[in-house]
Amino acid sequence: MSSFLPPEPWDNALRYARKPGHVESYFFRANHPTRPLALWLKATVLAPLHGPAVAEGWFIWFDGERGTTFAHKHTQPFSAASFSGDGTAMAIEVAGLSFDLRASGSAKGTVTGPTGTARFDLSWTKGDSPIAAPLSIYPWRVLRTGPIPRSKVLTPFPSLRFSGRVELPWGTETLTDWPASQGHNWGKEHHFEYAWGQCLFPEHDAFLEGGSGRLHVAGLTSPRLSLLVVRKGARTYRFDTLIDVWRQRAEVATDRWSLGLRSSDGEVSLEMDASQRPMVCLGYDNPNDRRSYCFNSKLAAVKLTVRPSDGATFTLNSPHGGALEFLRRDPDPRFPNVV
Amino acid sequence: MNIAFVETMRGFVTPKSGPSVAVDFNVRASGGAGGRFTLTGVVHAGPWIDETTCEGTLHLSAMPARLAYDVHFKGVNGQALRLHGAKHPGLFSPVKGMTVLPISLSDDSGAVLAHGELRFDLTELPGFLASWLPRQSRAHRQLEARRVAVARQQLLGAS
Repeated sequence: MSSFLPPEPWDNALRYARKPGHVESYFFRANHPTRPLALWLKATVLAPLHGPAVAEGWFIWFDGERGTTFAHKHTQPFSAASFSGDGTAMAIEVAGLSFDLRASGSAKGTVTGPTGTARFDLSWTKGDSPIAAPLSIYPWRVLRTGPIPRSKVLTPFPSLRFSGRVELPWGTETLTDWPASQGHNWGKEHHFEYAWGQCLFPEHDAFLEGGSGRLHVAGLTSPRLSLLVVRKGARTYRFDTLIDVWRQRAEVATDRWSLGLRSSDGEVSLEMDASQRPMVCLGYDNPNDRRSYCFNSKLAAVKLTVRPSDGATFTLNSPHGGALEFLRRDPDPRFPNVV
Repeated sequence: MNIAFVETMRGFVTPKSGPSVAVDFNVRASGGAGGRFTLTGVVHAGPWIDETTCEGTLHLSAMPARLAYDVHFKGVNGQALRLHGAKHPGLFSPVKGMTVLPISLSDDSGAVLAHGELRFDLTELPGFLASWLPRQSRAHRQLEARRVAVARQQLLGAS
């Protein structure tokens, strides 16, 4: 089957072919190993159906100790940005942010927002555990290379270690071996609607990524479909059957997402909760000018229980290490400032 | 004649007070002589025990049609517990009769702690049928690996 499909580029290769109707993003998430602090960096391409393409650089700091965020986005013409490389190594320069994107890479930048200026100078190395291998939560390659879904998801580096410095308006934070991940998304538009979560459990050598979403195809909206992949050491547990919607339990609340799935690998239940945690609302513009709203926290509490078909049950907890996002079509009055 | 198959029953039981809780057992039934099978496997029973090994019996009778399950295990404090109930297949409800198991959870004194219902998921029918084949199927191997892992965890006292 796979030989009939087009060859797949390197995970981080730029998919933007200079044609209208495209969105693409490279992003990093890093969490303090013990404190409720997290960093999110992102470089995006938006090619509208009408008009010139733009590139955007995003910097968001989540501070659960102060109960605040520092969030900034800067937009510039795509022609003024640079995305170069073959996907095994990418050099990205966007709006004051520069990423040297590879297994041992770096990121630098300065961003100035309404509440001050932030600077960062970071480097990372890829973990040597099996959980650090590239990951796609999509079960089939055709979902990454074919027309459906219209938005593609890859995690080229699920497990990185970040070190360096971040200067914020209220002080400087030194990062030492912060657990981190790097993702790469692209497509003709953003997903119609989703809840997405990701978490590293460094002390257990484990990682999870998953989502619950509805697709919009040919004017019809699908039932909510859920996927989850859990890695623990050398084992990968995939809950990505997709077709057994009647066996999936997914609840998406304002700031919480819970999931129960079964597959031949076993059973899983996941609870992610970002209530009472710093959260930002990001404006995700689609090529057709419609805006979606991403409610985003990188400090969610996570509880994961896996009951493998062939092993003992294990439960993993993270008090504030979860990346949790909700993409919705409407803004939320709790968030008057959309980044 | 020695027959073996693997079956999973999942559902909920309701204690005398408090909300319903999830219960399931995943067992290998072996034997078959005289309609009597020995059960070994793993059970999960809400707050009484997160996961533990179990043993028990399955009795099949034709008149009246009845499949009686009796699954024994130890709770979190070491107390002996039983999940017991019977399927009643009938001409007019063959599917429901074979897939729904009214169940009771009792302690070693016989006091009933909770009542409920477990169900066989028909999407697992292919794996269930394959587990009847003389050659050990994946379901047998997975259950045995899980049972050994749970037993090892209990022995080591790991969480």
